[in-house]
Amino acid sequence: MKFFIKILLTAAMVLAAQYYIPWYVIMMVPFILSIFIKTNGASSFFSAFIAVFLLWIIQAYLIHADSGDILTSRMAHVLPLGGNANILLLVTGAIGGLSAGIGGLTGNAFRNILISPTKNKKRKTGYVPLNQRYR
Amino acid sequence: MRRFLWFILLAGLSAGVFHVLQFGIGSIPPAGKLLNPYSGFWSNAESSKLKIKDKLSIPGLFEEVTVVYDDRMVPHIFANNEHDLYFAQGYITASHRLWQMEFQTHFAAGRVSEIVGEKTLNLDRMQRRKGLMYAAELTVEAFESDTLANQILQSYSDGVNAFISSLTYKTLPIEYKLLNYQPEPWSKLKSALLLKYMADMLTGKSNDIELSNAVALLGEEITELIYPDFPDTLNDPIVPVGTTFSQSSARLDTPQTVGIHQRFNVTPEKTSDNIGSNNWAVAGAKTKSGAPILCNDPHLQLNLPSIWYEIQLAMPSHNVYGVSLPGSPAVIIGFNNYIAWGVTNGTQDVKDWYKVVFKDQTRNEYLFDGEWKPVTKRVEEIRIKGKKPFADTVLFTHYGTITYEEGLSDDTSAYHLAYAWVGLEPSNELMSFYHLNSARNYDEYVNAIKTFQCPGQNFVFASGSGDIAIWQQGKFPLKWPKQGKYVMDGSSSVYQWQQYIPQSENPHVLNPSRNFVSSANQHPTDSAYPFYYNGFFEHYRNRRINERLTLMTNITIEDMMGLQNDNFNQQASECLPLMLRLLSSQHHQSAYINTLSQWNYVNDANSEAAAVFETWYYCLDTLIWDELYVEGKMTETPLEFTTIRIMHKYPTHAVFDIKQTTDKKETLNDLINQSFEKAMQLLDAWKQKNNKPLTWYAYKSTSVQHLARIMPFSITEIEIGGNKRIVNACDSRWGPSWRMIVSMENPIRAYGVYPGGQSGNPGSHYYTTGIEKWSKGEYFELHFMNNASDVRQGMITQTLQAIKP
Repeated sequence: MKFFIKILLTAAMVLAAQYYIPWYVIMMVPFILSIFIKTNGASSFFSAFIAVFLLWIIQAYLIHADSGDILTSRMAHVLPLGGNANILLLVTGAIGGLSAGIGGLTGNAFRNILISPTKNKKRKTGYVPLNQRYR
Repeated sequence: MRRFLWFILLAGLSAGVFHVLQFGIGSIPPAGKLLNPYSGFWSNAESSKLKIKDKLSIPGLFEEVTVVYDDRMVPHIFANNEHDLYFAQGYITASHRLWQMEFQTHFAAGRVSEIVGEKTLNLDRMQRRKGLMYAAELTVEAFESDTLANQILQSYSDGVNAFISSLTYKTLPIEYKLLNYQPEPWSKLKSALLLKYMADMLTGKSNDIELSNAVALLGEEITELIYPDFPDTLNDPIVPVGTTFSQSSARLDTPQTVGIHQRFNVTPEKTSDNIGSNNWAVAGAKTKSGAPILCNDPHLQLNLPSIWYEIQLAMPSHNVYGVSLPGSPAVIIGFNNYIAWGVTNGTQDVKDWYKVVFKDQTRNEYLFDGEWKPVTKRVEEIRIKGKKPFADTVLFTHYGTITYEEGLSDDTSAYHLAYAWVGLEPSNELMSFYHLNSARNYDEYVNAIKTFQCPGQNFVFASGSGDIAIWQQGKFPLKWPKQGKYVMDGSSSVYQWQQYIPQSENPHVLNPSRNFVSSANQHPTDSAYPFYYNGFFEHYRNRRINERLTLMTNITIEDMMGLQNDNFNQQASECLPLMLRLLSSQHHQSAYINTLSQWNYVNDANSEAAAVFETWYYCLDTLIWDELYVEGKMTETPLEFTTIRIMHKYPTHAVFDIKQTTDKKETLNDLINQSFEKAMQLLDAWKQKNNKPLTWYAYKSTSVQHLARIMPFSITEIEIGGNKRIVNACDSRWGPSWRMIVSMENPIRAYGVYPGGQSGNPGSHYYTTGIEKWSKGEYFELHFMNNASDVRQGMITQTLQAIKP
């Protein structure tokens, strides 16, 4: 549940803030959200990834459709993606998603050092000497 | 601790990802900025439906301005005063063409490396050594000494800057995003750089160095034979043969020797062979409507965004329509309610080269008339993207910059070459166009153009009142015979230009009895003209145009469209019969010969024979001039016209001997057969490689290329015929850059087309609007509006509102 809330929140906040902040808003929002909303590392990465991946690819697709492919087909050669507009859309989504995911993961890691978990379960079990750990 | 290290690791990764996506690496653009669909390149994709805001508020306008966009997005600007007219021209032009405007001036100033990196360093060094910046600075001084010119340029510049300051990353032209840089403020200097870039290109056929090299290689006799000043046969000049000229009373100091015949180990950078233009005007006596018709098509490099921007500029005192150069105010080629005008390049040589002698290796002083004169040194810092700047010292003498140099000043083979160029003299060509925009009759036209200095142009003219005229206008040095044909001694004033041809003696024609005037870069006069000149002149298009115009009567606009798109290959008609006759019978079975022998000499797009002929002629030409290709090409291939004259007159001349084969003395006969075999190989190889039928257009492969050579933003293999030396002068990279036809009826009827579109944005549906019609020889009707409410279907009106800054 938290995962889906995080996706929605990320999408909504990026959408609103992108009017004022350049592209790296997609790294900032997940970073901040993951500080305040506790999830594990994988969730903070994927919630951000999915939110921005969808946001970017949908917006790019709308432009692609409205402009009748005029620029997309040309840019898919410039970049160079063999002129395939679909790949360009995917790359756009993926770059956005990945950088957002990394932002989320970093936020999560930051949370973990800020809010030092009071007692780690593993710690409770006591210290296992290094040479016995993987037995 | 592990959490902390994990965070540090991720923070480092985030920073790395941010850095790469924000700044890019090397030539890889910043992907985050670029791909962001809310402001990156996606934002440059425009809807297929033209979206134009009803109202724009622009600080800097005095009053309200109305802009009507037609269905091709041509802006028709209606202003109440001159300031607002040129301000709006700057603003609107920049809104469609800003990147191109700035890139062209960066190119002229030798600043491309700061955008694209080290690969263009040599290009930039060359531009600096040509001294175009110096020429532009002189032009700005000339602008500023003329109140009116200064006001017009300032208004235009302010308009461009108003647009630039409205930009955000989202609205930045796509090239800035891809190459990752920002536009600078516009300035009068940038407009001047654009005009000097055009002037340099249009006077860029100077061949003094090549001809000096040719004399050193082949001797003076052969050089004069293959590079004659005048052809030995009728050349159909601009001023009809037989016109009497007043005799010159000029007295010039003439030296003993005409030039220096030394090998200069340099292949000068030159304008294409196919630079040129056609224009003509026919009198009402020859037209169906009874009103004169004026036509013009300048042949320039085919680029996107197009070199031309179509525009209508109207204010209470005048109303003009035509094409402008993005970066310069006013209409350059066009018409108003009273007159129409057009230009072709006047190709008299106005750039002469001098060998400069320095006192010693410090190069602080150079010899001139027995005295040592000081050299001015200017350190040019060339910024390079991703690298440290490169500093180059450019030397100035009173001629201009030292452009080419080799060796130190005390070697015998050393040289330092400077050029004298009319374009380096203060002048104000812009004002000629400004005055033409509002000219109403022949006298006003002559007054407008008479201060025009460089590049020399053939200004064709027609008026609603029935006059037709043409003037070759420019500032032309008055030369002693052969002056400036070869590199000259820079240490003596006798080799300098001493005077100029009086403006009133420039070649001109008004209402001739043949009822038409025309120019196609040919000789302006026959040899009866009292002044010596040399240059790079056309010999085919001019004759074809004049022959057709002489025959035509009851001319319609459609007839003129046909002539502008005429693909008749006059050159082939004058040499192919000879080539076929001398071809040995063993080749007569070839399918290529079968094709050629049935050919009508028309270079249509789908002609196979045209491709065969052009290939064969190319191979023949290369074989004939083998003697010029030794050790890199430091000479120039003679004109096809001259070559063909020699083929007809002297088929056993020494020029046909192949230098490599010392045991045999070849004649034209041998070369024709050898070249045919070579041509067959080339054509067979082409067919095998491309796996499609041989057609002229596919073989020639005309492309309209993006200015920064971003190939996906270019259009390639366009289905169009023609070639250089043909009226429809379209080769692979150069061609008719704007075809215009104006019938001076009341109301005026005008048609035009250019190989590009109004928008410079590859993401716009108006980026390539005209290319298809252009290639098919079709035209758009030009909507010359009487006033802002003269709106037709499909037009959109926009109001530019003045706001106080």
